[in-house]
Amino acid sequence: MRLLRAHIQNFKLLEDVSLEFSTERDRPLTVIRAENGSGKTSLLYAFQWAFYGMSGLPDSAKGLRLSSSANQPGSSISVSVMIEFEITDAYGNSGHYRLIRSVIETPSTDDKVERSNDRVRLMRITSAGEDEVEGGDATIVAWAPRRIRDVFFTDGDSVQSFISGQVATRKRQDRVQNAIRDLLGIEGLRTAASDVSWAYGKLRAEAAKAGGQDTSQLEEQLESTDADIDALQQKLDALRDRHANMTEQGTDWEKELRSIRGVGDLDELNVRIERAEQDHSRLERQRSVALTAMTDALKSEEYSWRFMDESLRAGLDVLAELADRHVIPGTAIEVLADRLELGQCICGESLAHGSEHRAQVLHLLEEQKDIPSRRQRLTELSHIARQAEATEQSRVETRHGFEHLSARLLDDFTDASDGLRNKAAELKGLEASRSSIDEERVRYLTSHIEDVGAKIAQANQDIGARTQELEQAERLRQKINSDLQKALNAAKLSGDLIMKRDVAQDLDNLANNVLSVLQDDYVDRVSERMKELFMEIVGSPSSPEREEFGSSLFAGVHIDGDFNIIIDTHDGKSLDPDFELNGASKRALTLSFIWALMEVSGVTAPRVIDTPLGMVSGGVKQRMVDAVTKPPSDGQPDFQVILFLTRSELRDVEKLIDARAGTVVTLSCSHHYPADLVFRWDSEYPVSRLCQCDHRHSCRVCARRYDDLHGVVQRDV
Amino acid sequence: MTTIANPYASQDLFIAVPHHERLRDYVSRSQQDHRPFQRQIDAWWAALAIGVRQRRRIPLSQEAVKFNDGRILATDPWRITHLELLALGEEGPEILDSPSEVIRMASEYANGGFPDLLDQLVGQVEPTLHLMLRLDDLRR
Repeated sequence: MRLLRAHIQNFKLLEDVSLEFSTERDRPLTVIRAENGSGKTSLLYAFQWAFYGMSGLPDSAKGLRLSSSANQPGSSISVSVMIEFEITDAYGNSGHYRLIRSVIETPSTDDKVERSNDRVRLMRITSAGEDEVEGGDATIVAWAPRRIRDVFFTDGDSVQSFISGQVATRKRQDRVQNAIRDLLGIEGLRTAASDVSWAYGKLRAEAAKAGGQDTSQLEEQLESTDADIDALQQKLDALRDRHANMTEQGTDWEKELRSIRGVGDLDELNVRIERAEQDHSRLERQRSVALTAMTDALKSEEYSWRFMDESLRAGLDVLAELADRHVIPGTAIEVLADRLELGQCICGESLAHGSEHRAQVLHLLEEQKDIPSRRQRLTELSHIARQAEATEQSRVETRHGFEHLSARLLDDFTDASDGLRNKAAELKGLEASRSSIDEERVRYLTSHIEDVGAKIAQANQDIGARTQELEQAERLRQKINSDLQKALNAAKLSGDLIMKRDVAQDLDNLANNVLSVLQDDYVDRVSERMKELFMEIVGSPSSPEREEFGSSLFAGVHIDGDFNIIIDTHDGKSLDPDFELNGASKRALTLSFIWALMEVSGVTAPRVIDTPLGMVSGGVKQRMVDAVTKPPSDGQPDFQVILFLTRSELRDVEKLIDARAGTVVTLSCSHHYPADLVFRWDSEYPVSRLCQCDHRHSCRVCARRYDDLHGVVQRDV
Repeated sequence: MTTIANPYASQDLFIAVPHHERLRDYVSRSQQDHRPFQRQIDAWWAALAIGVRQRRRIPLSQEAVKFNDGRILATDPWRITHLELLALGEEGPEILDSPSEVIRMASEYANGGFPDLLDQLVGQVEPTLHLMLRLDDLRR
């Protein structure tokens, strides 16, 4: 299956969103760039809902209101999702279909919502037009089974459920096993093997009945013992499941308790948070002061000198020339007035009241007042301009000119901005630590860990007792079976019945062996391909980025007989993916598993993943994107990858996206203005919109503050 | 101390309408906002300096807005000194007899400097910072 296009109406904040998916073989990637809170999860849910209805949504979203909460109580709204896709059947026949799921929601005043039944329409699109397909819902589920929803649509965190301890071991094993069976199509063979086993049992019973009373009684005892063994086995399985669940739950609780206790003292944290908040405010003030100082600098005399120095000096030269030609006098009214006010001449003589010198200067002043106005003006200007030039000269010499001022201010701004970023991250970490401390939770965990420990001990005893019972029952069965075989050999049975029973037995053995071989073969192939992909992503043993995975010990990875995904180390040990791998490794491992599964099964299906690159950076990120977007080689079927990526996830992989993505669009939400979005939208209520900006551009819809830090260039403003 | 006479007090100061409209977003409206210019005269002077540096003098068309008069120059007296030095260097001493000619020359340089100045500001998240970063380019 390949998605062609989608149109979403009124699904959460996705009021009217249309998007086209890349279907190019050489560029199989579609990127939806979106920051957290822009509507990525809503978009993912919209796809899942279109295919499977409410049952296709994750458990946490089952009670979800589909329409926007901005919708007024009492007013009905139609929610619909249209997906157009192409699908190729087992015989290579392709079909083009349009799936539309819609529902009417009417919110009531108590924050609940009335919802009509879903309406599902599946249309086959041909050159002749559109034909509605009967039973669209069932057809869709047959093409994309609900159980492998997690392979088609997933997010960066839950994608790890194949390997992570967020679910109990048995469930995890089942998920891996089911994903393999469903994608590889061996379920039919399992059913056939089970039918053959049933037929063999029936023929064996007929043979025993025909053999007389002894064989008939022994067969009844055998059937009864088989039933006892099945019942005991089921009890033992249930006990083991319970034991495993309790052990995992206990481990989780202990892990949580350790992490809470490791956080530290609450009072101390509060002090650190208060101090960090004060630092943050101080840095904000510093940043503000730097910006104000820049505004002051832009209107300063220093700025004027910096830009116009040559022209200003040309004016000074004209004044000097006028002075040389004695057009303007060497003294000026302002100078004489200044000296009189100071009471001292330029030569050092006193200009005290009544002195001869003072009378002389007063005379000069009177003479100056008779000079024509232009000369007077030029004389004043000459005096002031010389002072201004000397001041500027001094500023430049003491590194206080505009060039140095500007550099200082930019440094101050950068220091404050860097400090703010670091402080904000520190605050976030401290607040996260504080919120994780919960005294009530500590008491709860301590008491439950104790309880679960006692229950695990009891379960161990029960498992031991049931295991003994089962062994006894199996020994009894062997004895009865042996007696039955002897009795049957002694009895005279018809050749036809013996032949049928023996053929059924052979078929039973054959079917089970084929199933086992096929299953093992597929698992081996998935395992091998998963290892190749995983090792490709984590890099060579000498690669420096190996440290990013928290370990350079990986020798490989495989799926064991119980469908556990196991990491192998160079020293022959294995790592628990849940506890001994960091986030980047877990993502790499799970993506490798899903990609291997899809490649080995040959299924063409969209792989829609929300935020797959969180916690991954540098060369690792590049190799991960490279591995999951590499176009299929000759002979391999087409595939399609749809990734929801934030700007920070896109950093360092821009060139790969250039080469591999046939489509890149951007999803944004209006409620990010003004904190993150640069421009306000003309919307009165929160809404998410899609624009055609790729990973290198932004527009009036999606431009975000500090886009320049991500190298994003704004267009059409 | 020496005081500077302001012969330009009665002269009106103009900015071409298209530049004036674009400029509005970049002049402060309160103490708190961090726009690049506190007053229109500061933006006018910044444009004038760029126009002079780039030797770009463009006469004002009829479509111009009076944004202030020459009295505002006295709030930063050094501007009168720079204005007259500029006029002297460009036209010679006679121009100082005609304050309107001095202001016309300055307005034409400001008119020549505004396009580059405004182009640096438009669409920027932090226009003051961006302008500071691009000043060296504007000086070339």
